[in-house]
Amino acid sequence: MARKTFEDALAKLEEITRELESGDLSLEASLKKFEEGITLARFCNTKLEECQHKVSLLQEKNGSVTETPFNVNDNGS
Amino acid sequence: MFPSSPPLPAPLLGNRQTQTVSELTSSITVLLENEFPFVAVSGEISNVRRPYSGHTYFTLKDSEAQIRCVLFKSQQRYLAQPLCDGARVICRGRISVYRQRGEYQIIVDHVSDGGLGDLQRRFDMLKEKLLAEGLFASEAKKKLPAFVGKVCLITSPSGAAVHDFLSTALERFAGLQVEILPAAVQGASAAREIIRQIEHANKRAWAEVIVLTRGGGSLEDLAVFNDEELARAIYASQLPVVSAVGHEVDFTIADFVADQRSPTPTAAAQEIVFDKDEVVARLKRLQEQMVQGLQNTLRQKEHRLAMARRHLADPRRLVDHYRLKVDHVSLHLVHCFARKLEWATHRLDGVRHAFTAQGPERKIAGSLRRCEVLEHRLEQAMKNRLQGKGEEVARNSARLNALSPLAVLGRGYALAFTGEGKVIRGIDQVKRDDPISIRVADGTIAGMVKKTTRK
Repeated sequence: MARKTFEDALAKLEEITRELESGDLSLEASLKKFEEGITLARFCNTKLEECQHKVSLLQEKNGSVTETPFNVNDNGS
Repeated sequence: MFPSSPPLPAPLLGNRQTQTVSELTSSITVLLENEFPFVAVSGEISNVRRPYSGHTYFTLKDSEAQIRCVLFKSQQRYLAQPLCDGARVICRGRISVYRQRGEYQIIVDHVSDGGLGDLQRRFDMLKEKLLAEGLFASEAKKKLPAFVGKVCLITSPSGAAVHDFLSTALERFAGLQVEILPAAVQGASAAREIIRQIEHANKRAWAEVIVLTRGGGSLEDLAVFNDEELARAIYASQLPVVSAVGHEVDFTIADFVADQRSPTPTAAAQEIVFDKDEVVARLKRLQEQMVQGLQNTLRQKEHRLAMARRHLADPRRLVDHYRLKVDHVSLHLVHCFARKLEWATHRLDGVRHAFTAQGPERKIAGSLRRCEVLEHRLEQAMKNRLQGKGEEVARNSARLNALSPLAVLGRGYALAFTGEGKVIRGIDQVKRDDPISIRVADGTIAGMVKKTTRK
């Protein structure tokens, strides 16, 4: 569900940015939104940095699935 | 052995020199091979032979003619199924002359199903059918998540498609997680294997998207993607399916039913996988916008505060303001009143003037003047008269004096008067003992009546 959160976080961040730009908020609300926004931005960045690609090949043998790492660079033409 | 050619008629030979068999064959070879570097011939296979060499020799024929063909061993791996007598096929290749035997034949590069017309018809029918069933409806298409992190790749693990997809996808987002579900993507078992893997991926429910992909191929290679059962499996898939079959021109049934269609594996990676750099840039931009927004809000509030404070700072300012206002209003009031007063005065003056003009004063004054004039005239007249009369009196006095009774007295007459001073003209005027006075010329004699006697 981390992905979902990332997506939501980004959408929320965009919403907050729009609100902050509109300038209709009270100062307290602005600050609160800003803090929330910064947290979300940090979260998104962290999430992106955390990701480490993983490519695996799933093969079925005798009814059970085995997962083996798939080397990206060794394959292809 | 070669059948002996019939002798050419003399005129045709002309000046031409006689040629050797080799020379003529060379000419024919050049002619044929230059003229037919590429042919596509449809016909029925017959007389298939496969000697030790592994090459396949056969004859392609139709009802009226036949032609020899050879398919070299190296090309045979591209066959969907081995060649067999009676099959209707289309052979693509070039014409070649075999000099030693004086034969020409087609060196076949590619054999495809000659019943292409049938194939097309079947394709159209299936398309119509599935369309009517609503398998291609846009409402049925599942939306792909904006940020795909887990992908199931159904393809041949040894194909170029895997590499194309992965290299592009991981370049865009190094955090992408991919599971490769191997399946044959051409050949008889391909459709079944792919269906199995679609079901498998759904059962695992790990991925967010299924990408069904293969590299480019001939139309026949792609026949698997026109399979009805495969179409139904794609439709039934809970996970969104992206069809990325390497062909630019034609659509397959899989393309129609898939939730998204990409022309190539690379294109699929570009369309499905978000670009991390882009997202990071977007995040940075959002952050900057947010800071900007907050700063704007702060500035705005500060400004409002400053304004408010400026008004709030000195209450005397307000007092001054009202003081000035009151002053101004009073001034105005006074001014107004003064004007009104002036106007009233002016009007009163006017009225008074009018009144005075008509009033008794003037009449009085006039009368007074007239009185004075009259008085003066009277005086004057009187004076004149008096003057005149005086003279007359003086004149007459002498005469009067002559006539005066007093003058008579001088001649010895006397005048008797009653006590009241009246001239006694008869005896009835007095009685006995009434005082009387008698005037004579040089004085008065007092007396008393002793007796009255009528004559």
